[in-house]
Amino acid sequence: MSKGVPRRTFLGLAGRVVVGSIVIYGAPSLVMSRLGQPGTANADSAPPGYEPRKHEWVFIVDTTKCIGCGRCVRACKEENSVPMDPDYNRTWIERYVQTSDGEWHVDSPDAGINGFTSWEANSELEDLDITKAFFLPKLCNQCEKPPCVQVCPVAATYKTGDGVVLVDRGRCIGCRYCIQACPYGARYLDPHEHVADKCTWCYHRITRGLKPACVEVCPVGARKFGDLRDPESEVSKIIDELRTYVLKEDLGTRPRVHYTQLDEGVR
Amino acid sequence: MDGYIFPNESEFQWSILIVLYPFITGLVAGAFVVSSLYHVFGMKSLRPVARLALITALAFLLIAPLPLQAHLGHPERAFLIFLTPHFTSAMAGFGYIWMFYLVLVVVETWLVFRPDIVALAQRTRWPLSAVYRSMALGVDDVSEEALEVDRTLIKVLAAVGIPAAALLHGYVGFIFGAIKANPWWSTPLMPIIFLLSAIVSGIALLIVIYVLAMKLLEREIDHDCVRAMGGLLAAFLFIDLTLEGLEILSMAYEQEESWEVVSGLIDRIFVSFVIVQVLLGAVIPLVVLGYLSLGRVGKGLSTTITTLIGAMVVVGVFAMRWNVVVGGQMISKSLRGYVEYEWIFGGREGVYMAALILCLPLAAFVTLATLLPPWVPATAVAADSGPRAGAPGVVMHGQVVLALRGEQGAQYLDLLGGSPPKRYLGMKLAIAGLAATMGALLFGVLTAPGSPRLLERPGSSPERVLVPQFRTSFPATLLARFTEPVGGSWVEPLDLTVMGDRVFVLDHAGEQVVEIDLDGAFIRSFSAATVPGLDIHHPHTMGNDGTFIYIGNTFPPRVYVLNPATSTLERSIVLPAGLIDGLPAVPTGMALNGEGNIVVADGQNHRLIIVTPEGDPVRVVDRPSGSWDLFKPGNINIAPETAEARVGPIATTGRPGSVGITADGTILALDILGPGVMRVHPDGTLATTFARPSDPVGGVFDPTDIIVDAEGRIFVSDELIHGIQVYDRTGTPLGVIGRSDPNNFTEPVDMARPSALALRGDKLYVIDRGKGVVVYQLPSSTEAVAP
Repeated sequence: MSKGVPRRTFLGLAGRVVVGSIVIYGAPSLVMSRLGQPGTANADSAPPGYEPRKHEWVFIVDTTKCIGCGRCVRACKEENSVPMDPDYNRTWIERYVQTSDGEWHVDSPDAGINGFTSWEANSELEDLDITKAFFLPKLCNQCEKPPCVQVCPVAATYKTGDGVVLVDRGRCIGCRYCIQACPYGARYLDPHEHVADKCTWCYHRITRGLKPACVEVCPVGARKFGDLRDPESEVSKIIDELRTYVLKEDLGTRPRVHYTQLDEGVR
Repeated sequence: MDGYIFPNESEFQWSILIVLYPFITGLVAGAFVVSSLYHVFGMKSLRPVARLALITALAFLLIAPLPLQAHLGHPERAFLIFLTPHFTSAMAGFGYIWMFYLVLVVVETWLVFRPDIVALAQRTRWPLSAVYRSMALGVDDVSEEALEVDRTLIKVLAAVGIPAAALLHGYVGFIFGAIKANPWWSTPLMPIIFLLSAIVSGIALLIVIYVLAMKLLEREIDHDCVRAMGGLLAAFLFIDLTLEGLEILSMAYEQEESWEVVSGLIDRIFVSFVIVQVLLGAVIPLVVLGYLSLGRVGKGLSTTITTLIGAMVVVGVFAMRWNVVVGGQMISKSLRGYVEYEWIFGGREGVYMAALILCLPLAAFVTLATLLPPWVPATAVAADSGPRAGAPGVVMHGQVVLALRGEQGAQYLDLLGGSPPKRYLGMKLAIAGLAATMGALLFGVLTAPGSPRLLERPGSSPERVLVPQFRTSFPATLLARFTEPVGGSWVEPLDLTVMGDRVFVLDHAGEQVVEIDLDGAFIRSFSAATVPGLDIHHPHTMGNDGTFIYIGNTFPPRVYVLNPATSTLERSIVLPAGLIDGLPAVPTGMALNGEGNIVVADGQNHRLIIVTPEGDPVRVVDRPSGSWDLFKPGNINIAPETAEARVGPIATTGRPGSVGITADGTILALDILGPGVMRVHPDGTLATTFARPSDPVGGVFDPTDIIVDAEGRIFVSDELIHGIQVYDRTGTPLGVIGRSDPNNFTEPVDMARPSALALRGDKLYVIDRGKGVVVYQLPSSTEAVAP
């Protein structure tokens, strides 16, 4: 009885099948992925000669100062070409109102871009017995252990040497996994580019010695930004001397945005 | 929206396409497990469906990546998952796991059906015979030894395939289970729950397909096989239900921070979760299957009921995928609210698209089943009684076919399709599949929470603000810059005023007034040390009337009237205290109006005070109507003398900073907090406002000083713009002084913190706070307008 196909022939055939499949399946995909739109040029670029490892950026929010004017939200959108829709925000302001029965009322009308003084924003709170109220600015926490970086399937989002988490718009495939993984709701899918986007601490500004747009426009100094490597900077002094808090500390993400005061009702 | 959600959560990230993917791979894993149970563990009762299971698994596996591909924001970059996978991400495993598993299933299918392919290649006509010959890959040896090798290989592949199938579906569970940000998803049990429900759905689907196919083929159903599958279904269903129940029980018992929002979610998805997934999809099937296993029900009825149960379980598992994917996203990460899901019918994530994607595997199945019929012929049973009987492993169709020549062979070929009653089999199957899919989806739409819409929300409005290129440069020429007075020093120049040919600079930290000439040479300094009574402490503003210098001081709140010629303090004007708690006035701006009176901006009390040079109050402009109080709609006109304390808890009130006076006596008050410029009539009524930040061409953000020149042009220095915004007398913006590119903040600027302005003829003197004095040459009005 014949032994059928000799092993060598079969292996040769199998080898050709495998290589052929890779070529036939891979070649068009390679071409396609190059042909696809590269996305807009990455706006988050440092100037040549910038050394990320020489800096350790940190962001401080002084919650006692925020007045909920919303200029930071508007400045951020203008500076970073974020769509004006209220559904896409790199930063936003939340208002926490506690009534005498201990209940918290939290809102963020249009992410706070028009402030909180409109009648629509206040009609429900008018007759409540309010005991305590404050504003809480929020933005990407640029975590030391970012869950968003962990779950990106193509490593499109990454952490720079100076502590900022950025998104490579030319690489992001738009799977939205990072948006699911962020516990702070800091990310969104850019509706025009169909890639993930989030606050970058205005990387193009901080690498040139400027401050992020939101820090620049805050009229009361509720937002502070600086380099921990500089012991004379305001942020270094605050981190050294005052007690600061971070959001959702129990999740272990180690955020780099510190709040000088938080309340138990803050999530 | 219900409760509070983060602003970015309004948009659902993963919709029905991502619900479909685990559903489809689940069916694959389940069907493959059934096939492997026969090939590896030798469960003979599953023989009728072993090959059918393989075909089903392959059909669904081929379509599995489609919903993922369709859902990506950049599908053309999907190949990056193969080229540059990031292995800390469970999703990165998809590419290789799926490819590996596809190769495995294709090879195993080929091995199992090889004898049929060989036989069919010999017996069919062209073009089908060409198809079969190519599928045979040149191997037409169906001898006993070859089939023995096949059998071993199949066993190996089926054995490897079980953990591979577990991986294929388990990693999907891990994708959800490893997300600590989502309390509905995050649990270590997720991969195993997904895997078990996958096996359950696969077995259930197999039951349905087998029974329906046999009915359509008008063949005899092997009731023992259906019963065996029902038993398997019950066993896996039981474990699955236990684990899912344990998860909920654990959450309900421990009641962590997220329990409140999770229990609210369960209320919201009550119908699709408790009714469809648990009751209809698990509990009732378990009870019924349990009863059927007692054997008291007749075989035909038992099979019918089991088939019905199978359909229910498939729907229940689809509901489970739905409840996990969509339910999890309904919870806001603020743990305070819920996002409402919108059912979309048309569009990429619509119901019709899902129906199409679900029909494709059925089409693939029909094609494969027609090409490689998995149906076990009744005559094959006879082979069991032959010398090869009892040997576990592959059904020896090849032997049977080759042995059956003539009439029996023809019978077998009949089975493969050809005689009239069995024509249109594919079409019947397809229609049945389509109807079932649409029915199931409709059922889902009715029972799952959410509101339906026809199309997706339109993409973001085109109101996308790119870097505003609105501002122009005002053609002023930089003439000089004095960082220190020649022959003297200052610490923190903050304000300045020009009188005659002398410039007086207010030094905030140095607590002095420095007099310099027009070339920047130091003349003398006035301070508490040199002028008795001139207790300067946090001064913020200065003005002059041609003879005297007026200095606005904060501690104590006074306006000092200084005679620079004699270096003496002429008088000290005490400003009236505010109405609210008698807060002292704090002068933040000062200007002299045409009547010779001094207009002082009281930043502390949000008002303007007009006094005579002797210090007698003329008028107080207290919150001009409709201007600074934005708390309530409508205008609130507060008469200056009867103003009552009105401070809302959440109000943005303007704070007048500097003031400038126009030629006709109207006051231009800089609202620091608004911000913007207010034009106030001499009698205190508000005329208009302009230069709000919403004005992209002329808006100011952090204004520090305002001044009006002889031609009526208004100059506003702004610390955020790092320059001076110029307007004509009506408030129309004319351009920015001091910026090389007024629209790009990273380009060099002349001044970092312009904080004060003064005019001398056509020369503009600017204080760059803390740095010094900058002098500009202004063009005349006609020059400025010409491009």
